[in-house]
Amino acid sequence: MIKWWIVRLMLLVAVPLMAQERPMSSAQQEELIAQVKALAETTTSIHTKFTQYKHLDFLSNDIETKGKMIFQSPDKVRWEYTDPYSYVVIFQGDRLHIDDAGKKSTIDMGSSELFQQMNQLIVNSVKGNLFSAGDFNRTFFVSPEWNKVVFVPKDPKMSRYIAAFELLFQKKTGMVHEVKLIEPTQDYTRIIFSERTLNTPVDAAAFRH
Amino acid sequence: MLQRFVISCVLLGVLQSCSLALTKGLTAQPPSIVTLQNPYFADQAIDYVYKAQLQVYGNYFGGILVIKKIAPQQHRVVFTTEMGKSLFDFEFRQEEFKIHYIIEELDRKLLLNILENDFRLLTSERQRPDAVYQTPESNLYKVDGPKRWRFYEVDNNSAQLKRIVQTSAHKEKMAIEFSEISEDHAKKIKIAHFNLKLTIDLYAL
Repeated sequence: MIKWWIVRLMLLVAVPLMAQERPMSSAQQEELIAQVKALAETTTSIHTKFTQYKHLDFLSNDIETKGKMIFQSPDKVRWEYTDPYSYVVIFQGDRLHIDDAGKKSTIDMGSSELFQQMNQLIVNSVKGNLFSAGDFNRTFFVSPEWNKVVFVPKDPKMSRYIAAFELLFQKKTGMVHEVKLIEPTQDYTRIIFSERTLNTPVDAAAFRH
Repeated sequence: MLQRFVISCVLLGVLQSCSLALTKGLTAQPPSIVTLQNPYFADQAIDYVYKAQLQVYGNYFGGILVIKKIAPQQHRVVFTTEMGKSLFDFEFRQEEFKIHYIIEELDRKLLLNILENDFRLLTSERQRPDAVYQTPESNLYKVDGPKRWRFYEVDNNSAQLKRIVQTSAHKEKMAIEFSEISEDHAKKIKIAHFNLKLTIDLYAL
């Protein structure tokens, strides 16, 4: 008897959960793509805070880090971790400038196809503009709160590096709310954005290194 | 006479080259303890998370090192970039070594051998010492191995494990230093190789 009640209770909980997210119709997909493209075209800069959760299945807790991100059109990104450590990475053209608590280094991404693809992924996911890239198989989902797109790399070399990449878009604005990077081991990293401002002037010092 | 002098010189040279700087002037004694504990990665309830800084032949790399004891005598060791991308994911279970994941760029036998050796030494908990060398500051417990020896340096005042040194019969090969220790948690760890230009500095997050 108790068992039956448990099953019923589980069904009651599970059915609405499953119903929350469903595949998008092609009209909905086109609408989302148009919304995100229009936003990307009018975005000259983004200032936002973020919280990153690294999930490893065997850990008791996700590893939580926090920081700030600045994007300047067309392709500059400053990614800064402030808590619990100081680490800045600046994506600028073909170069990656790193400041690890005062230890500075530069990586030339021109020499690595993989680095270039990762850079494209980061810049485009920040902008929300991953739709023009033909490197991924895309699947679209809709829930009452979010629009979600799952990107699976077509290139086998890339898929040994990343199994999939998910973006959650705010329904109203088309802005990226969350980025989820899924590893080939199925462990993942979630980055959730907050306190975002668009198209405000960028301090020139942000991209100095 | 000359012959005897030459033989003495050769013998002296051989004996000196055989002796380790670490135990120079010290006498081996039977160990006073049966087992020796490395307590720093021994608690299954703790996620050990470190900011890592690597210096490899003049090149600098940063990342996050995660170590977790997942069962008795079983550890997972994962290294990720600051942005969360996993670079390698290893599992150590007694003598077994399993690679769950490694990016292609790091999948090199020589590097894997070094990483396996270093992280096995870092996480292995119990040793059976074969001898002890005493100094006024510390006890150096020697653990014999098939090719290499290990020395565990335990501080006399605090009774804390301060250092593990791996050697050949003649030379120190690498050392792991533990510092800023509280309640069996080493906040700062330095892994240094003497025959390779490789150092790894770890700071607990």
